[in-house]
Amino acid sequence: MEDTDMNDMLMTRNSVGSEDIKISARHVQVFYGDTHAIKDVDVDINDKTVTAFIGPSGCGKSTFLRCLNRMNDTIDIARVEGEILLDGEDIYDKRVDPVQLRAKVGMVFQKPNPFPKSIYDNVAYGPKIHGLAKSKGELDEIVEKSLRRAALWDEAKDRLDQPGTGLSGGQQQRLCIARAVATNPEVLLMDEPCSALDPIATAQVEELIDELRENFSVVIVTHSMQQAARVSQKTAFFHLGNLVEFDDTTKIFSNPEDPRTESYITGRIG
Amino acid sequence: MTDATGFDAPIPPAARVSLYERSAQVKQRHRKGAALRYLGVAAITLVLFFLAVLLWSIFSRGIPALFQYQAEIEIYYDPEILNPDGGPVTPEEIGDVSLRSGFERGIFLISLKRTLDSAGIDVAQVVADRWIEEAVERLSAAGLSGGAEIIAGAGAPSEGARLLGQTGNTLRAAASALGGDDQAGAVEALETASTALAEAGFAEAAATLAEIAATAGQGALSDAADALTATGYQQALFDAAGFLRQPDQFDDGDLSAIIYAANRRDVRDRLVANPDLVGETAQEGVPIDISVTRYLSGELSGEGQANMPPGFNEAQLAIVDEMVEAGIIDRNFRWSFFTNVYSQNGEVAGIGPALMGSAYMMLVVLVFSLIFGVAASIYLEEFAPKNKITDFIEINIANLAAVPSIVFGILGAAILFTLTELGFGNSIRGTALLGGLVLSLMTLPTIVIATRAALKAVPPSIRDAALGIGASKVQTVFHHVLPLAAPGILTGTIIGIAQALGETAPLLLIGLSVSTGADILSSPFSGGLLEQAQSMPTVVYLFAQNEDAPVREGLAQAAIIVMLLLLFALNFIAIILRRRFERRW
Repeated sequence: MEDTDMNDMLMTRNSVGSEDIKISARHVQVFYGDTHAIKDVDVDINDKTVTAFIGPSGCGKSTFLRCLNRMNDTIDIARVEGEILLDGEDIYDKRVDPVQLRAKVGMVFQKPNPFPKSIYDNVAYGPKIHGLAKSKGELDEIVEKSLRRAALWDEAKDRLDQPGTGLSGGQQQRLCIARAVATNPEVLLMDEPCSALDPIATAQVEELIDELRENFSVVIVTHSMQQAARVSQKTAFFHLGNLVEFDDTTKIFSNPEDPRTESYITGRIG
Repeated sequence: MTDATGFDAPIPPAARVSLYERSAQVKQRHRKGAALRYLGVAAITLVLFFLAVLLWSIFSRGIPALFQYQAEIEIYYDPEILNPDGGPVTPEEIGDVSLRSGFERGIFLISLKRTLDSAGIDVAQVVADRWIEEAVERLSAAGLSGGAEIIAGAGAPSEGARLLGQTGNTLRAAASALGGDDQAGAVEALETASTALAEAGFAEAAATLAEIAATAGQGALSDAADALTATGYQQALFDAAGFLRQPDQFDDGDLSAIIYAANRRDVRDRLVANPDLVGETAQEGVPIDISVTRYLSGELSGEGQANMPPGFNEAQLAIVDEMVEAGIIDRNFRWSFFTNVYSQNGEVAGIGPALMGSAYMMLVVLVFSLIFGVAASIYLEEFAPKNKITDFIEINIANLAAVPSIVFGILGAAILFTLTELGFGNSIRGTALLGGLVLSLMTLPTIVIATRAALKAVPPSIRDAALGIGASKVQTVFHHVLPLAAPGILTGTIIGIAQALGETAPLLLIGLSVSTGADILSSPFSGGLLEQAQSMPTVVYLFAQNEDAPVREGLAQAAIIVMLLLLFALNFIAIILRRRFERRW
């Protein structure tokens, strides 16, 4: 991508962003058994903003993302220290039920993983288990709204009863996004959502992420620096479990402070 | 490139080898590959051969046993036999009559005779003809031709027997005279015998005897004796005489033996149930003796001692042949085999209680081992912490799968003893409930292992997806993981149940082979689980232990066929269900 194009885009997309802090992480440490995966990370994630986590493989960005909705709980040997506040409440507090947390902090995974059920059931599952719809009509409404938000409604409205696994890769990923937004979360975590998609599907999903920013705080882990530059307003660079640099995307990509960040974004490491 | 300095010495060109030529190494590889292939083919051929032998031995014996020869008999409920003193017959009287009193036999005999009469079969004539045929055959085998005319000329078979006997006696006298040293007496005895043969009508034999007399006249007494023995006339005459005496000995017992003996009990039962039958005639198909069945199905030729149905003689078979010709005996599919209770007697034995018992046991196994097995697997796989205790449990479950089934039988028997000491062991002994519980224990490890494998095979991304939406652990398992694992669980369960269906040893130990199963058949639904039952494998075992060869070698195989069909049906259901529930992700 030409520098002028990139700067142009950075200017248009990355200029706006709320200053309200949604998630605030302090001194977060993660251990997998004896491995120290995340080392003392402090980060603030703003509301209605796309925050990108970049870094080479194994740097801990996915691990940190999974801390934000306590998905690491399912791994027996994982241990999280420090505090992560969502709207000022510690999500690792004993009183917090991870189930309730995950309804507020939705997640989209690297590989599209729709349930082997119909498109409708895929989207309706979350609202059903959280009791968000009182009637079939309300549920239909939520499903439609979610599919529209995921820009999948026009393609899927005539085949809602067909299996979600029958969709194309890009459609499946958008279905997963629809499924995640159906529970009306406040934060949407995306773990390399485009790594299994072709460029056209990637472009659609990126477009979508930009639209989702109006309603949600989005945190995206990506391998692609271009993608981070395209979709995010804030970027955090992780390296070997450390948060090396966290700043506005424009700043990170144009004028990074840390030499490691510069090496990475110019392709010298990673 | 600079690093390469020192390595740029020219590599000597390798000798060009044609691609068409195989190197020694390639040839050896091919040889090894071919040997392995042939070994595989040989192994499969061997397996197929044994399978074919097994199936052939089962089906060739079992299929004929699934058909039964029945005699259509006009049963006449003769009032005279029922009450020799005359007067009406009450059901109570019939019920009181002992089975040994012979009234059923009387009814049967009269009915059989009437049926044969109306079919135009003269029993005495058939029997006489058959034995005369045997006698003539015996005579001509010894070189005594013209036997048929001689016997016919003598009149009744008994007269023929006397004539042949007398002639035989002269030969015996001659033989004993040759054993002494009185040459003149021996010659005289031989001439007497020769005359007797000539008078009876055996001209050739008479001439032979005259020659022997001439030999004896020259003083070679021992040569003459050998020559006389070599003719075999004496033995043939006595044998034929014996055959001809048979028709007079043929009695009613020989006739009714053709029909299965226990049919008589049915007659009484029917009369007790419906006294109006007295004096009436009813056509009825009654099974014939199972040994005769084997003769009819061609397994026994009826020729020679070894191929005779045990306990039967040629004349009885001749009557059977006549009945077949007259259309009185016909061959039917043996539906009663599936509904009758077990019996020592092959003619009426059935697998009804065994089918019922096996069905109930499979139901018990399904309920217990599926519920407990799946519950245990879900806990171990999804919820249990991974520590020493769960490892220990896992190893033990795997070990349990390898425990011989008889050990479970011993466990069941031990529980039974304890229950008996507590006072209610007899009520549970040999029931489908107890059998089912023991088999459930046996099946449990299989189901646990299969279920855990199926749960493990569900991709973690599905779990992530559900958890990521905010489903709880339980919701994740029951809404997503379990439905996806269902085909695998189902297959494991059906394999386990099929295994349980074929299990014999533990059931023998807890008494599922002691009753005939009449109780479970009379109340299949009200008390099914708590009645004394049988199971398919134990009934096969009982059939295989029977003293009658037709049961051992026919009904056992027929029961095995039924069992195999059940197993095939189970596997078929498993495949259908798998196809139905299978989802791709």
